[in-house]
Parts: sequence; structure tokens; C-alpha cells
Amino acid sequence: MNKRERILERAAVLLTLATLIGVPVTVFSYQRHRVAREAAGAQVIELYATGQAGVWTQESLRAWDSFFRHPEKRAIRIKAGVPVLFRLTSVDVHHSFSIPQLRVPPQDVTPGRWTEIRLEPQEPGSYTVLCYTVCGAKHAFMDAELQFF
Amino acid sequence: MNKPAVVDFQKAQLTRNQDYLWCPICKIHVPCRRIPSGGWEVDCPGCRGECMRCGCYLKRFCFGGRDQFPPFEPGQEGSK
Amino acid sequence: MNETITKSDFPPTPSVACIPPPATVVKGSRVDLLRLFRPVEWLVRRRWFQFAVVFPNLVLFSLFLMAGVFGTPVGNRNVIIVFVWILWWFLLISLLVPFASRVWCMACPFPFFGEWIQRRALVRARSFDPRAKKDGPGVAIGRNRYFGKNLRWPKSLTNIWIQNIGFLALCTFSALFLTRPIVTVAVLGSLFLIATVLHMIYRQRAFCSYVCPVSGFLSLFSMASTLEVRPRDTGVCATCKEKACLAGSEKGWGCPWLLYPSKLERNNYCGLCMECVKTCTHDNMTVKLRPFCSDTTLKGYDEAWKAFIMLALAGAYSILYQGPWGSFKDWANIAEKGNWPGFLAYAGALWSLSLLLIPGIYALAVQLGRALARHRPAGSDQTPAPAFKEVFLAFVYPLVPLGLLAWVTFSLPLLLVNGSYILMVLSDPFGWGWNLFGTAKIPWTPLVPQWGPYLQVPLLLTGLYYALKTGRAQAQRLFGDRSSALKAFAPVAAVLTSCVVFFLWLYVG
Repeated sequence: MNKRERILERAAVLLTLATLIGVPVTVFSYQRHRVAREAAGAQVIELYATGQAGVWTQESLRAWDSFFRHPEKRAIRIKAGVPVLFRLTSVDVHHSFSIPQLRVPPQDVTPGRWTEIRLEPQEPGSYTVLCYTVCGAKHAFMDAELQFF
Repeated sequence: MNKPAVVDFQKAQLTRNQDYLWCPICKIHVPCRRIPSGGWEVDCPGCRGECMRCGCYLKRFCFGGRDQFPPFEPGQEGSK
Repeated sequence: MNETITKSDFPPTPSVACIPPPATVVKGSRVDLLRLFRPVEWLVRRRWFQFAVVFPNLVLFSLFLMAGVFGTPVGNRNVIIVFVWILWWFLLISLLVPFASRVWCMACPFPFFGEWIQRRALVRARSFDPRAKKDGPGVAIGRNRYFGKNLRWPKSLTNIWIQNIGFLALCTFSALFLTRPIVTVAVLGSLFLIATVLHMIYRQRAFCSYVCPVSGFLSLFSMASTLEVRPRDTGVCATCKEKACLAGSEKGWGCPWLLYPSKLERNNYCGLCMECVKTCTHDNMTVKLRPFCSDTTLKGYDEAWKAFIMLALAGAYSILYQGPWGSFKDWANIAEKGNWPGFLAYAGALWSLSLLLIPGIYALAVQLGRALARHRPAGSDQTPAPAFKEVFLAFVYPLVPLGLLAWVTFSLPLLLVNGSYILMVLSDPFGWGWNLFGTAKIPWTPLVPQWGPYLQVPLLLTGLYYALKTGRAQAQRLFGDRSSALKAFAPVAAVLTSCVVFFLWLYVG
């Protein structure tokens, strides 16, 4: 192998290894940086809406686990006195997110897309999230409790 | 492997001092020559270039390595 | 051999082309593209060319796998679904295969790691002098050295039946993997893994030649393609002593597709890797432009059944994914509906249509044609009719252009209706709320769906035209006189026409 071939071969190997490591690192880093930039100091609450289970859940429902996970209804605990950024998505059908007690009007939550809702700092207390779009058999039971502490 | 299987070279259309392999598909003797790169040239006129599908025995020698394979079954012409 | 061969009997292998290449660009119905486009010739001769082509796909593939695992489970918002099953599929079947044969195989990332392990090189070629006394590392195949077990593929499996059954099995569950990112990851990831393992065990591209389900239909439809890799001058090949295209050289690997390029007559199993173009010591291998449907010989029942499977699937998919019959969709959607009797009915219908019904009808048509052709007037040529297998394989060939155009017809609405998703996922590949290029919030916009039938009908009729044209030519070749040929082909022509009428009814009512 002459020098030129050696350089080419090493460059190819390095490029390949850089890809295998670089692609995941870049993707996840960019996501973290982007969310932090969007939050601008607010606390980020990510909620996944699932019509099949009829819940708003903080459990991350990704492509690899959304079909076998059965999220349960749990209270969503949020720090009071700090701005909140809700990031909402649906993993199946259309939903609509609203917190009537806080005058948050219904906002579409579309499958595969993210809806962001900013909330000003709140006093400690408990509020209810409701779904305003018929999303399935469990639509009537699709609520969530926000606990500001 | 060195036992002469052919007596009448002319009848079998063979040339002395020339190595051959018998193609069971084409039913002909195919010349088998050592080539400069060190492999064996086995150029059967019936070859259609698809070694990956070929049922022809000769495909095993196209890359050379003739010595690596066992002799033909007894009864086949041109075997060595 | 009776004479003693010594080292001095062998001249050194020439490292440069010693026979000047013919200057002809156009020869008969072929155009020598590498002579016509010298920069392209320069490019494909570089050792780094194939890596440069595969590497971007490797990057994309790793991105897609990540999206399929960590991205949104919503199919139309996940890049792996949209790019693979809408964009890549459409480009493959509508552009790459008809006009560039198996050029996808040149860029495919599946064999990347397996071939790296096998060759222990990404760019360079490992060659050796077989006359050297000391043996080197790896296994010698021709003039190249390979690592791994390098076993020969089992002789009984040197056909595409594994690909046929594998493809049919995958397509039975298509409703799952076409819509669910994680299932697509499972399918593609498994193929990637199998390719890597098989490369470590078997010779060269055994996975690509015998196992890869994509390779199966590429092999069939590439026969119709307008591109081929062939020698410039077969006379040069006849006198060539190096056989570098087969045995390799210091300039390149011997054909990894287990072919003998200088003798190649069909596109079916040539993956356009360009190794033969690089390694030929006489600069005699090239890429040629040729007429559509130039390869006309099917070599076995496995290839014939591939044609039947592809035709059946084109019809089934058109009904399932573009038809108005919701029940069929529910039957196929086993993961959500759980209707096992329905699914088994759908699967049973698909498999029997592909493997039994269509082949059976075709065989009857062929036999009827042979019987009709046998009745010749007294005084005419009484040569016995060709054997059934020969006629059957010849008359299955028209399904190649017909099947290809049927698949293009099916794929067109996929792009027209779902193409806007491509722009969406371009900006937000994972469905994480990104907007890289400002197109993430584009609404779903079908692209002139009303034009669909006006595009589909000419495509189907073009397929029928080529099917009838090639079928008639086959009949003429086999049966000699015009009258016998027409009689022999008539029943098959009726079957082909009926297929197209069925597709026309599906698409335009």
C-alpha cells in the first residue's frame, strides 16, 4: 500500500467512525440545545397525549416503546413561581389541550408535531388539564392534574 | 487423478499436453490453462457470466485454485 | 498437465492497459457512456468512488435508524417512513431501475460493514501474487485476499427463491412496517445485521446475490433497464490472460457479485459496483446506454416466479393501499385490528395469487399457445414445438416490463399524495419539533392528485406495449414462422391484456 492509498484508507475509516459516533451525538446535543433555547429559563414540561390510554403523560413515548407501554394517569408536579413551557405532542390522534382554570384556551395537539404553550409563574395549587377534541373511547376520561408546589 | 482417462485424443478432440476440464452442462472439453496472474483460465463457450447461478462445475476453477478441488467422479471424460 | 511450468514462463502482469481502447462511442444500439462522459469515467475509476457513493447513504441510514427508534411513533412525521417508503421507493422503482439498472446496489449501505470485515479495507484493493511461495493472510480468491470464512454459498440455494419468499413474507406484513417506524427499523436493521454476518461467513456478496429481498426485484426489473455494464470489445476479453475482472488485480477486486463480467449477458445480478471497470487491465469494461428491455432471457423458474410475485403484489397493493375497500385494509392491519381470520384470508389470498393462481393461469395460457402452434398446415415446417419450460420462461419475460410499469403506476400516487410529507420531515426528521429548513409546518398538500389517472393510464399502456412487443419477439424466436408464433403467443397476450384491463379498472374505474 503506497502513501496515498494509506491516507485514503485512514480517511475513510475515520469518516466512518466519525459518522457512527457523530450522528447520534449531534442529534441529541442539538435537541437539548434547542429545547433549552426555546425554554429561555422556563421549566420544560413535556406531555405525550395518547388517545388509546386516554392520558396526558410525562413518560416519553418514542417510536420504539409507544406501542407496548401503558402509561397511567399521574399528577404532573410543577414548581410554582417559575415560568412553565409545556411541550405537547400526540402519539396517535388529534387532541386538544386546555387548562380552563388558568384561562388556557384549547390548543391543538397534533400527532407527530409539538405544540408549545407558555405559562406565567403560578401560585401553588391544583388545576385540571382537559382534552377538548374527541379522541377515542376514553376521551371523556382524558384529564390530568397539574400540581404546582 | 493422474490415471489417463482418454486414449484416443483425436476422437475426444483433445490436444496432447493441454489440460482440460469436462463441462457437464455443455458436454464439451474446455481447455484449462495456467494464466500469468497465477489462476487458471477456464473459458467455456457456454459460459454466460453468471457464476452466482451457474450449475457448471467449471465455475469453481474460474478463479484458479484448480488444485484445491477433488477430481471428477469416475466415468467423466477429460477428468484428471 | 504434462509439461513443467516454471516461474519464468509467466510474464509480469501488466499494470497499465497495453491494448489501446477502441475510440467508438456508439456501437450498434449501445452508447459507451464512459467514453462519452470522460469525467464520469475518471470518477468511477477512482478507488474512493464507491466509498464516496455509499458513505452519504450510511450517514442517512444511521440517521433513519435513530429516528425510527427515538423519534415520533407517528409514521408520516418520522423520516424513516417518509424517506424510505415514499421517496426512496418512488425514486428506486420509477427512475433508478428503469434508467440505471441496479445502481442502488452501488450505493446501498447494507453490505458496508460486512464488506469492510471481509476485505479489511474500505478503499484499497488487496491483491497478491499467487506465484509467491509464502502464503499471506486471509483466503485467496483469484488474485485478491479475503477474510472471514469465505465459504461457498450452498449450491442448492444458488437461485433467488430465498429472495422470493422473503419478499413475499415481508410484503404480507407491509401494513405494519410501512406505517410504524420501529417495525421499519426492525426490518432494515435485521437485513443490515444479516448482511454483515453473511459477509463474514460466505464469499463476497452472497447476501446481496441470494438473500436481500430488495435485490430480488431489482434483479428482475433491471433486465428492462437502459443501462448495462459490459465489455467494450469481447475480442479483447477472449485473448485476455489476466481475467482481472474475475480474479482481481492490484487495481481492484474481482467481481464481488460472483459474476464473470467479460462474459456477462444480462443485468440481473450486476450491482454496478464498477470494480471490473477499475480492475480490467485492458480498459475494456464500460457502462453502456441501451434500449429498454434489452435483456430478454429468464434463466429459471425462480426468476419467473419473481415476475408473478411482483405482478400480484402490484395488484394487491393497489387494492389495499389505494382502493376504497376498508375491510381489506382492516384485514391487513393485524397489529391494530387484531382480526386474525381476516389477516389469514388476506395472506392466503396474497400467497396463492402470487405462487399458484397467476402462475397457473399463465402456464395454461402457455400450454394452450403451444397446442395452437402445433397445428400447422400440411407442407409447412413440421419442426417439433419448443419444450414447455423454454416457452414458459420466454413468455414470462413480458411480465418484466409490464410488472415494472405496474409498480411505477402504483408508486406515482404515493408521491403525488404524500410527497408534501417529505418537505415536512426534511425540517423535522425525528418529529421532535425541529424546523431546520423552515418547512416543518407545511400542511399536508396532495400534489395534483386529479392528474393521477392521466399519468397512470399511459404508463400502463406503455407497459402493455412493451409486454406485447417483447412477447411477440420471443414467440418469433422460438416458433420461427409468423403464423405459429402468433398462435403461440395469442393466449399469453390475452392474459397480459386482461391484467392491464384490470389495473385500468382499478385506477380509472
